[in-house]
Amino acid sequence: MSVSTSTVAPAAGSSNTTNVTKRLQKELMQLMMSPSPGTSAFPDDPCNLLKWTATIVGPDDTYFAGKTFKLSFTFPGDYPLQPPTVLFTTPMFHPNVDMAGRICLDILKDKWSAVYNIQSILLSLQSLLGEPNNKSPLNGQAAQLWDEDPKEYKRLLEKRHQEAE
Amino acid sequence: MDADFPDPTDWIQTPVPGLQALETSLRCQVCKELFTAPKVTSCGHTFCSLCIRRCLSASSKCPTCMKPDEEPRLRDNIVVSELVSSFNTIRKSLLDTLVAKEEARKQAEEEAERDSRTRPKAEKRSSYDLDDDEVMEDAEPVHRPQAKKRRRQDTTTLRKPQETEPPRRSTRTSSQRTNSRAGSSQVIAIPDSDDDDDDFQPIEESSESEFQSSSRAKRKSASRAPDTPTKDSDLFACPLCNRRKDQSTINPHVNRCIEGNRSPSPTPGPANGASSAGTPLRRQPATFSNLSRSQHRAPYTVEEREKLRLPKGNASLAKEADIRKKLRDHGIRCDVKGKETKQILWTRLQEWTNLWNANLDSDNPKLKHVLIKELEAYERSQATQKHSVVQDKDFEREAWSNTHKPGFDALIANARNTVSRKKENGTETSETSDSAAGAKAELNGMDSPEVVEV
Repeated sequence: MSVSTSTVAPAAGSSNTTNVTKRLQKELMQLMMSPSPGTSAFPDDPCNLLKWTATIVGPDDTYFAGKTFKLSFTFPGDYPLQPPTVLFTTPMFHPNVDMAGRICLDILKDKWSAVYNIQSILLSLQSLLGEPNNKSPLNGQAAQLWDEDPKEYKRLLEKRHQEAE
Repeated sequence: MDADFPDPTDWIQTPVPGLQALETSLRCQVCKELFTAPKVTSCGHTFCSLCIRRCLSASSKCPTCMKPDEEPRLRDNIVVSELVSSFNTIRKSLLDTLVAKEEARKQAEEEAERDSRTRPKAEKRSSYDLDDDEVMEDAEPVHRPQAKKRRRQDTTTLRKPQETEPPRRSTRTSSQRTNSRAGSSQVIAIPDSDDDDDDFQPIEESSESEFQSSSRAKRKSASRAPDTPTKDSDLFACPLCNRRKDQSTINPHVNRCIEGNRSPSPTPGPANGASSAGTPLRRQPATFSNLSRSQHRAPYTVEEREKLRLPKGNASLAKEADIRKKLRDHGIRCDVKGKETKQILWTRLQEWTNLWNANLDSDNPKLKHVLIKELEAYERSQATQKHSVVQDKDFEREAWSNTHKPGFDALIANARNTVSRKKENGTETSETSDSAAGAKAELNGMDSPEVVEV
């Protein structure tokens, strides 16, 4: 798929990404045919399955209820042996998400397993929204306010979310 | 639904959506394909040989339950291998049949609209169909009790297939087997169904007839969409060959069909039947003959496998020269230069070991030169993507702390100095806050050189 690859070996160019793209095609099929509520995901470009955009809807009974958050997925060449890089592209105010949208979630790092997929990541993120790990925060302010000052948390979250529009 | 891209979700649209779960269980959770040379881990999870080998090389843990495991502990999962191969042989015909049924149901809902659109076509019917029409009147009363569903299928599912029918008719022999095949695949109202038919392999064909005879009982309850035009709605479709018969002739016809179906099936049975039954050793000759000999060899015996199995080795003990020698012995290029030569060669050897060992487990082992091509392709696919900054930051924490150790040490020393100075000054009450502030100030002071360094 890269330029160099296709010039070196045009024939092999299509087969060398089969591992990743075939698997991603399957996942896309799965997501299209039986989507889980409150999540969606789709490749940015039909020719390049290695970059996706996903959305999750904040779960009810959380600060994020009713809000929609966009994420970007970038898949490495050895996916699913390595996890995708997942970022919040919608401005986020959450203890385990930093201001650049980077996420601290064990299954995206050392707890990753090849049997996880986009859908399981999205579900994990949805539950992370409701149950942050306040012990290892990326956003200290959010972690502090989460329990201590729900009102202020809500205000800052709203403010961040406004930046999206 | 899509012949090139079979997926468990294909079953959602059928009347038996539960098959989705069945197929999902027959698929490897790593590559999401039907198992290839399935291996069971010591914790009882099953993966393709190559998938689990790659996973274990990456993390030495079972991908499903995270329990530690190692390659020598993997065992063949023979039952799963048989399940996959027999499922794979019936998959297409099963899906076609079920989709056709569902399709028929849907089409029945738009019956009226369809009728007006397709009537011109219906007039081009063959004499064969017209014959059936003549007895329609007789048949009607008898078929009333036979559930509305059947009739709706009869009237609706045939339009599309008609386009593809003449060629089939011309090739149709007296064999019921051929008839039944045509019956099952033609009714799908999916654009690519024609192509599928062209690609039909002898194996699939025979397996289908097998499948049909085994599920004959079910078929009798009209799971089939027949291939006669609209006006024949009150005729019976033979559940086996799908030919339209009136009430007086259907029973003898079905009997003949059953006989006919039984007789051809033993003929392809032993040869192709083995391929669907899935005893790996017996299956081989049949499949093997279809494959190009320049690409594959006969499967390895258990002894051969043990003998040829490559050991994993240990990254820290292996020397670059040894790795090079091993790769060269296998005829793999070692043209790597630069700082990370050893790492690259080691990765290459690991992937080669995985490919090689998985290939030993395969029913259709590939020849060495094919494997080497696969290795090269795999490496290229890895090179196209580099890990993102975010991940590196997490993974190279140690390197990071090593690089900045002097800075951190200086910080700690400064903080200690500040504390001891504060103690000397004796301002005990404000000590903690002051020292914190001091440390912070130091931190800020240290920050800028750090940033420049980075």
